[in-house]
Amino acid sequence: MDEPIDMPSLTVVPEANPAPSEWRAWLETHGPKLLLFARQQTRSQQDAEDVLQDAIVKLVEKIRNDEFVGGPEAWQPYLYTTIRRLAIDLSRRDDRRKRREDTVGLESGEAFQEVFHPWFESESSDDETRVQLEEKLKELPEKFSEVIIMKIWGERTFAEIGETLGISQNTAASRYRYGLEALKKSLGSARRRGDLSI
Amino acid sequence: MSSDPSSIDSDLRKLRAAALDERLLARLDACAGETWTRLDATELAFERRLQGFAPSHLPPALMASLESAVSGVRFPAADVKIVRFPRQESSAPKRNYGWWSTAAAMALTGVVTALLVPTKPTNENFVGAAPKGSPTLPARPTEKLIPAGFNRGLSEASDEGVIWQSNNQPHRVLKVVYKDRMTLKNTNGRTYQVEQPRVEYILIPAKTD
Repeated sequence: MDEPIDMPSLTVVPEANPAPSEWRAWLETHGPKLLLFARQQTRSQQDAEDVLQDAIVKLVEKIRNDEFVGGPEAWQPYLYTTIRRLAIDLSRRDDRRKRREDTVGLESGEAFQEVFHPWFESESSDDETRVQLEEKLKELPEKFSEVIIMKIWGERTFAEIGETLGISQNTAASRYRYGLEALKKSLGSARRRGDLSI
Repeated sequence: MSSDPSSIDSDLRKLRAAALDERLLARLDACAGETWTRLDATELAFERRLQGFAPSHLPPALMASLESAVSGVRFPAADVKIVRFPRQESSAPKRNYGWWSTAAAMALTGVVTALLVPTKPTNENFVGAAPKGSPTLPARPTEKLIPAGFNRGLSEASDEGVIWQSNNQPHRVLKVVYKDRMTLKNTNGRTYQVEQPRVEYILIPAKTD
């Protein structure tokens, strides 16, 4: 048997999870907000994901070709505008397609899928409020809900929202106010029943 | 209402546009006063409650897809705020004045230091002094000398050929000889000139087949 070799003791330190890349960290921070906006702008989760991905790809192409003016701070206004534009294009294409196809089956399928893709994080203690909020946001006129989503969850200013939507910041503020009012009203009955925490 | 056009016109003129309701008036007033975009306490409170609901995380498949889309693109530094102008390259040749001024300042400092450092008592003239016949510097300058001018002259340039190391790109070597001339004045106005030659080798990447 070989003599044991006198070696300095080595301790294997398990490596912690690798630090997320800057891109990943950025996507984790801003992705959910952008996806929520895309979700509001499109008809299904699948469309929202497609639109978000296309917008990111467009941004990356611009960065790669050195065509983008500004750093990460300037990405969000660009992405909100691009998501909206792509969603409008997609909607037009869908409308044309739907005129040609019988989509009854697809509609029900999409509705079924949406159950598994909530707009907001689920917290068991407040699940009812979350469901109601999502429902009422979907019922709001689009011009209100898009401003509310950009302002509250996208943390955009009225000026930035105005720029994205091609309206003045005062009009953005009006839509926000009326939207909040309508949302409050529609959530009112549920709140009176005590189902909601807001 | 009469069917007579003139009568209709008269009737219509009697009508008045409806007055603005209070809400619209308040809105217009706030817009004019630039306060419309400021939310009141109730609105802010409702906003904060809604902010408590976090948007859903990106589904793992979408995250992977987005990460793939951005792979290979360097994430820009957050604190870099460079606004790029449209890419139109100037046709004017670039001249590195910063380098020249740095070199001139260093040369000047070196010469002044050399002049002011005490040396052995000797009658020899200053090293690198001006040609015969021109005023020379004392071996141990006791006077205060003030720089009065600096001039750089290109005295010689030659092509030294191409060097090519096996692990590197071939480079053409240019030898450039400068002559720096500094003028100093003492308190009496007497002028001294110091000349110093300097050689630089410049490597220029050479084309290969």
